[in-house]
Amino acid sequence: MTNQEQYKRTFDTVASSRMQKLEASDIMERRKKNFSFKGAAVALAAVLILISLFGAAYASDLGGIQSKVQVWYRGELTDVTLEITPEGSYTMEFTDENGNPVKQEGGGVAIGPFGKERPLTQDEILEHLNEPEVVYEDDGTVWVYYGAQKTEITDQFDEDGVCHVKLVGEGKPIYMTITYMEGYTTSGRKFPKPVK
Amino acid sequence: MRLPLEMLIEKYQKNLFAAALNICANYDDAQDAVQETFLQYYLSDKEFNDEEHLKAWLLRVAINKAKDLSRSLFRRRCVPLEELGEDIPFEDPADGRLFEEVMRLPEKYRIVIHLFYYEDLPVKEIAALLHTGESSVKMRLSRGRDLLKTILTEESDNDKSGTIQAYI
Repeated sequence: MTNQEQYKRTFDTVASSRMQKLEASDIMERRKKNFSFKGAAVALAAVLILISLFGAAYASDLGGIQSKVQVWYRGELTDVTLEITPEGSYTMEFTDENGNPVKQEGGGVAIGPFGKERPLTQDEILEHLNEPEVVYEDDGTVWVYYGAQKTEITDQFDEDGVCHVKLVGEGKPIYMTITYMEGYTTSGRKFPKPVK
Repeated sequence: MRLPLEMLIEKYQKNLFAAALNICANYDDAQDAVQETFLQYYLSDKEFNDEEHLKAWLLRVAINKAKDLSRSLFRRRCVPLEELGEDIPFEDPADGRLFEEVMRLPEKYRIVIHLFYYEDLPVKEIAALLHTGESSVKMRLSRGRDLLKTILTEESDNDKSGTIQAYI
């Protein structure tokens, strides 16, 4: 038996043993999208620093657990329903440009100067939702969205899958270092090191 | 061209699950990544040149979803390697050891090794799938093999069965 045959046999056994068979009907019924916390790879360590750098959300009712707010989504200022828990997780629901319901979930913690963790506040989550977003489209193109701006970066990645983008908005410029499908880091002063 | 979702699940769920598992090292997250991948296909209007193109797209999306999940602050608990291989009815005990040692590799080596050995993809296609350079894929493949060789050779010193060296 070759190495490859043994490798295939091994992972076939694992997959057959542990995956749950999916039904197409279940997937068709589940017309919602779940997203993980954008930029989560860098947010854990740097959220307190990053949050203060980015643009504002436009909250109309932040008094309750559930709020109606506007956030930038794929270049459009979008009305969303946002629910935030005391633990710092959020659920955001809205209807996209094609009329499909979209549900986005995420959350996180902030780490203070002495390493103490606390849940993200409502304001921090709102600011996070307006951070730049890197989108990998089905057709293989890659885009950066920031506020009303949309920039294609598909061909800008170097041999190591790293791309540098300078975003200029109303405030200070934002320097992004994007690692393909790994995440990104930002700085207000210079291009930071890529995500490892 | 497009294919019915039922057919894609039947043909490719196992491939996508195995690829996602190599990223997540967690069965629940791998399952979620596969489900999200098929959901994205269902919601997408994308047309494909042929089935090979479609399979490559599914793999790329599944890997992407798995990476998103594994980097989420709300990811599932990490599963110890010893538990990951528990209760799996391997045909040969050597397969269990191979699985454990592969899962012990750093993720960036693991996924390249997997696409090469399980999906039988050439370096060029792996590079395109992971959106990285061919030299980077070759380097990861080489280092991944070296790590497997080191680990397994060390283990084989204690286990004189003589079968483990065959992985290298």
